[in-house]
Amino acid sequence: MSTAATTAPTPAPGHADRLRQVWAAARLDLLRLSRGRYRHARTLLMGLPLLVAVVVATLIAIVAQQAFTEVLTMPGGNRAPMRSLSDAVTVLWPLSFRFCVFLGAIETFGGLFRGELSERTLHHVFLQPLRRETVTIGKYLAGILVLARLGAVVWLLSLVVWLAPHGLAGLATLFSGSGLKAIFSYLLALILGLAAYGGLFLLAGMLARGPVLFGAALWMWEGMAVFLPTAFQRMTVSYWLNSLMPVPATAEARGFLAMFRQDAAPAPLLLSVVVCLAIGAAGAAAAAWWSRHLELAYGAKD
Amino acid sequence: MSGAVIELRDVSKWYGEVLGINRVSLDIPAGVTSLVGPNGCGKSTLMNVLTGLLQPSKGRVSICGIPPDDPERLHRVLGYCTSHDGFHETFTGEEFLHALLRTHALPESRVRELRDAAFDRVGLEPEARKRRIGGYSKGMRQRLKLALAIAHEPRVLVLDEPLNGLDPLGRSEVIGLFQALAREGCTVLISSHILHEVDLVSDNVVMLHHGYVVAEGDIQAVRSEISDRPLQVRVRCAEPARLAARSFTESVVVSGRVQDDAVLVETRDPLAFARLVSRLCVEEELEVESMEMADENVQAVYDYLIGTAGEQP
Repeated sequence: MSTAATTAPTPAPGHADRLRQVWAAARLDLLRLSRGRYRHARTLLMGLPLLVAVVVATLIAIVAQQAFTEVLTMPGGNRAPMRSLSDAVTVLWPLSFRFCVFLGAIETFGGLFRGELSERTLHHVFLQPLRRETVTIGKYLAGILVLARLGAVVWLLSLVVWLAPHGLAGLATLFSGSGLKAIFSYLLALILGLAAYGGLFLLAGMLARGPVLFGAALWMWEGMAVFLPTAFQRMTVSYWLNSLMPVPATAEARGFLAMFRQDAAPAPLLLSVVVCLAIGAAGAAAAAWWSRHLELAYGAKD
Repeated sequence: MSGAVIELRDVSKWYGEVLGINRVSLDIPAGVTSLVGPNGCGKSTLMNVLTGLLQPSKGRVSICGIPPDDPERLHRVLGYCTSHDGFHETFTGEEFLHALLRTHALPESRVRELRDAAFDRVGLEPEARKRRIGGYSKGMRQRLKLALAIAHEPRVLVLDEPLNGLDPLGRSEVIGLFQALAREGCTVLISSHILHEVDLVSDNVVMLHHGYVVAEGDIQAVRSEISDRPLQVRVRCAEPARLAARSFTESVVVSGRVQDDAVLVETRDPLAFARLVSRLCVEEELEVESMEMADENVQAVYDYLIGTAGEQP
């Protein structure tokens, strides 16, 4: 090894090298997240919709096929039989996105820096020839990839399992034109939701010791905003995500509370995509800026 | 530009009200420099400031002319073996080093080459490289940290307690590694509490106490400036008692004592004492095996300046 063989000036890397560095940083975190101590909890959480789908499919198999449609009905009095793809989506999507993906995003993105700080491992990546911004983008990308991969697999499997008891005709709806469009729309919403929430939780994890509190506040705000004037609803991520969905999400709140809902008209698709990406980019950019000032002493003052 | 590889100008670091280091100005040249001082004196703070893990509250730092806020350039020329022991425990040593080397945007073949060379150099066995870090012994973790620091062939190495956790054989191997790196032109800054071992490889010393630099430079020069302490000279000979009887009456000797096969003398003028011993060899037919400075070393200078003899810094 020819250590110190040269004293030539060290040039900064070019754009292509920076892209490779982002991917290298992302790969490191992908591996870390895939093997970290919370991986089983994350998989279980994200897999909850699949569990629900399995339970439903089992019930359908146990109960007489026709009778089951009367046994399991939508809450709040919607008596539509749950045979169609839209039924599956109406039940599984809120569970998947508003609960599993949301909580998964808090844990994953909130822990990208905070987790490494508590495990005292962040210095390893800070001692590489990487800008802090590169590290942040790599981590953010890794968070999106880990959850999108898990969320997409669970989502597709859940739909297949849900529709399986209805035979080939049920499964065929998945591969029909409207079925594929629905699948694509929800996968797009999943990725954009992860991008938007991910940016916010990444920043929260950077600023606060416990990003859970920020997550709880955001959860409450998003839930409450549907009862506020439509201008406030546009200040939530879920409004922009709902605009991407082929099945309107208004069915989520029913019964007594539905009287107080003021559902804003959906935004145009392109605008929704841009806003979700902008929210994520703003969060990630603020986190990257903050990371430049992050000092690593892990409490030691020697 | 001076010949210094590492430069600090009036650097201070405060943790709120707590002082880390205060107004440190240093020019550390090529070669091996040891950084010594008691616990809490600011050694790790100084190293963390140098490597960009901490930002100085005041002052300016550069390594090879590169400031710490330019990590893309700095960490290509710098390797840092920290005192932090955190790893991604579920990775194998090989996976971890490989993943970190990828951030240098090198071709995969080069990454593999550097990775394997680093492991070979620090003596981490091929079987151990493929094991999960969570199952590593303290010594293996220390070797992995060293591999992480040297793998990208840096020009400057900063090593915080690099001998920790290593057995005597391991320490000897690692000291040999530092010597080899220094011969290859690498600038090495080592902090260690095993003073007699860093003394073997150090060209220069920086002593810290309560966040201040109390001495720096070539160890002999530092020792010679401690004028209130006579120099100690150890003379090994066949008849130490006779040498003591003849020499202790001379004015050049401040004090002395016999130690097994040697005489340990304190003198303010070692050259005059050397002449005295030469004369006695001729006149008294004494057989002298060796004569050496007994306190021109890091441990002795540390004890004189910081005054904690017997206490581990």
